[in-house]
Amino acid sequence: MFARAARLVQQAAALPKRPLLDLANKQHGHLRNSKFLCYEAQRPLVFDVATTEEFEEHVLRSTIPVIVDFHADWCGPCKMLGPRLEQKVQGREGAVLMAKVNIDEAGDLADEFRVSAVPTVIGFQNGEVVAEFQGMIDDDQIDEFLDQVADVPAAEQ
Amino acid sequence: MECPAGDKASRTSSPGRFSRFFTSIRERVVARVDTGASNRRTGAVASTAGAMAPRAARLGSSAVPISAALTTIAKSPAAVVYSESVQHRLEEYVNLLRGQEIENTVVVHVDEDARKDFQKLTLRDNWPLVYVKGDCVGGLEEVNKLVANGQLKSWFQEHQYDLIVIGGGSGGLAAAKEAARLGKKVACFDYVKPSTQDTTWGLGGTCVNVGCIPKKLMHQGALLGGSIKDAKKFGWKFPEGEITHNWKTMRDAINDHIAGLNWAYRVQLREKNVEYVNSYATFVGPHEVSGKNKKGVVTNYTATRFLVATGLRPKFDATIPGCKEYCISSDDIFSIKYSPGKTLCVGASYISLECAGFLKGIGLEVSVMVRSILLRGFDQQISEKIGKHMEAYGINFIRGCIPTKIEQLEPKTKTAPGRLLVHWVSIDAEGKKTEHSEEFNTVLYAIGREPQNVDVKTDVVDIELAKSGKIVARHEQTSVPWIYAIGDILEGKPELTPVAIQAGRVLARRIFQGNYELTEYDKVPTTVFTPLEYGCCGLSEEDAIKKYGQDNIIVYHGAFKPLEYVINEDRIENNHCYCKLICVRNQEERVVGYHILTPTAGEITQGFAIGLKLGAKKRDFDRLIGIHPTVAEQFTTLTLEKKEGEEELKVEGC
Repeated sequence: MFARAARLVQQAAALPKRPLLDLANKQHGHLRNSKFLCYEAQRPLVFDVATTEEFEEHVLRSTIPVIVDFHADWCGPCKMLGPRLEQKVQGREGAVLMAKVNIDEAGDLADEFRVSAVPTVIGFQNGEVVAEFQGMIDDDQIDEFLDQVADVPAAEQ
Repeated sequence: MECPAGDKASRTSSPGRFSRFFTSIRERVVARVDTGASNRRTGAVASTAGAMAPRAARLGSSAVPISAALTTIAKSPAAVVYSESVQHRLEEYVNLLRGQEIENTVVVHVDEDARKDFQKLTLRDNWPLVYVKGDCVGGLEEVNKLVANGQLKSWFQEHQYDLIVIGGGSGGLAAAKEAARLGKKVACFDYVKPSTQDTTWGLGGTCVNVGCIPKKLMHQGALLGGSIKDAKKFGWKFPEGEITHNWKTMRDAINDHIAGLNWAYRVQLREKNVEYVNSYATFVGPHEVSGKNKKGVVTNYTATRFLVATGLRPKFDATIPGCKEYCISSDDIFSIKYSPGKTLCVGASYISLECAGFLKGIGLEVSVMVRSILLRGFDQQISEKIGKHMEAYGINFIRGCIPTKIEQLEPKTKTAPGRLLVHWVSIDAEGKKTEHSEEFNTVLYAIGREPQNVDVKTDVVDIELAKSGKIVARHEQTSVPWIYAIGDILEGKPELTPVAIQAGRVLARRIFQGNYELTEYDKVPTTVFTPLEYGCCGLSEEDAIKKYGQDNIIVYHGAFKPLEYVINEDRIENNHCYCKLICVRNQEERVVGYHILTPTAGEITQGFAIGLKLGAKKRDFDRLIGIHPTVAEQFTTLTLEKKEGEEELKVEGC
């Protein structure tokens, strides 16, 4: 399964860069409700990551920016932040993806990234960390963060 | 006074300026401890050396103070400690160590007073005394044994870690973090073998997961139920109808907090550079442990020193059918997802009584089955008062019995506890036996705790164990000189988290820095968190009588009503609160026992314990002016003497 995903990512990377879906456009409008699909790589917009291998595959080698939500079941703020982040990511319609890491199940991953408090959200672009925040933030701040990660130029913000 | 030459001592073999004055064996050793300044007993040194010129005796040949000796020993590959009276085989020792190719053996000369201190510190009688890599080994016999079985050689091999801690509980984590703080390379192995009901938990040990923390939170949860009843009398309006308790809400909130603590400890270890290995460690070599984790991955690590802090687990009675199969323990009660329902607590320990207390407090039907006395080891007068209070609280006590059989009528499911039928036999005064049986949803066994890691004693390392299975130690050093033990696993010491934490930190400093600090295991204050809390420090009345004699003991006592409870006449605590001070007559009435049965006893006892530690007398308590209105102020105005055979104290008016 991972091999297939890897091939897909490679293929996607090899394709000429296509413009993002223009959901206002009548042609693509019918896809407006397919919030769960990323057009380019046939992956869901929000997915779980439990191992270092999955992380390398779907986060570090992703051509699309990915935010990683390190969270825990016992953490109140995580339970509030998580759904809001998901909603915002889906609203970006494929410009940015979201990986969820449960720190109790994927302790090694959390150790690698020296996660101490939860929620910790790290933004990756082409395998590099470009932004990070800890704790609860409000909607405007989530937007700003996603802008940074998705590399939205200032003019369009 | 500190010896400034501690560092100089070990490396260079320096005949130096003084060697031509020495005709004693000292000139033939590889290295010596240089002394910066002479100590009290320089005179004695001169006499041993025989025809030594007085000027030479003064310079550099006198005994060192114990602090200098210890810091040097901590840094030396090997050391032989001697004093005037015990140096007759010194040369033999040194030659033996040199024969093992241990370079830079240090010979440490101490005076007679320091020798006595060494004896207290190491609890050893063999002199001269040998240390290897900072760990006290004993005498020639012990060293020869280590040579013979090859362990001395493996001691001097390269090891991956300075310290491996086995057990990530209160003691283990404290020691690991302290050792890391002192710059040592530390790894900590922690693994929880599932309970009889398959419960496991994360890093942090018993206290954090299935002990102090969830217990206190559930105790608080239960007490709040009583506060609600008080609140009504104070004018708070509540909606009509019964106020009920939801087990799952309390259980989830507490377990979320514990999970947060497990995580916090992981992060702490990482930030303090202690490597955390979630595997069950066993010794596979004198300096090597092997651990296998849940995924089957095996880790082998070697270390110069080890600390066993593996703690205890609940005991069951395998002779009682159904005991192990159907009963739960304190390992399970705090995390079960459904309410335990009608519960039987078997045991007279504080675990049994505390659990019975909070289960009753949240509205469940609770019975406690006790074989003989309550709270063995605690003051019996107070223990009986606790029993009386708990009975008034609504808990059914079945005294003088143990279960004979436990049958399962309905198995438990994911959402319900099931039904058990408990059988027992009671014997009346004439010896007539009566059989009883009663149905319960849950049976909690709390008859004691025992070590469950017999593999700590293997063929590879022969760690001496007591009959209880706990580890026998000399000030935390086991029979294997490079292996130490702290916490509940240590024989003869209080089974308390703060004791383990203190012992862990003090031990790390003592062995890595080389100092004279010892953990004080006496006058440790403690509290039993039964619905009416019991705080105590020092001796029980029985132990005080045994130690000082009935006639030499005077007990001052008092009964009282907490002011917060006077508004609600239904408060049963108003008839049960009590306190006493046990004093020794011929020591100016020094207070040797402090006992209080009251709400918030834990908070009160902590403060007063410092008085006992500093040797307070009754008159010091009398000099102290109370804070009013509190319950604690009782101790500042105790005048009533407890007399034999008198009636129970009744609470006076305001």
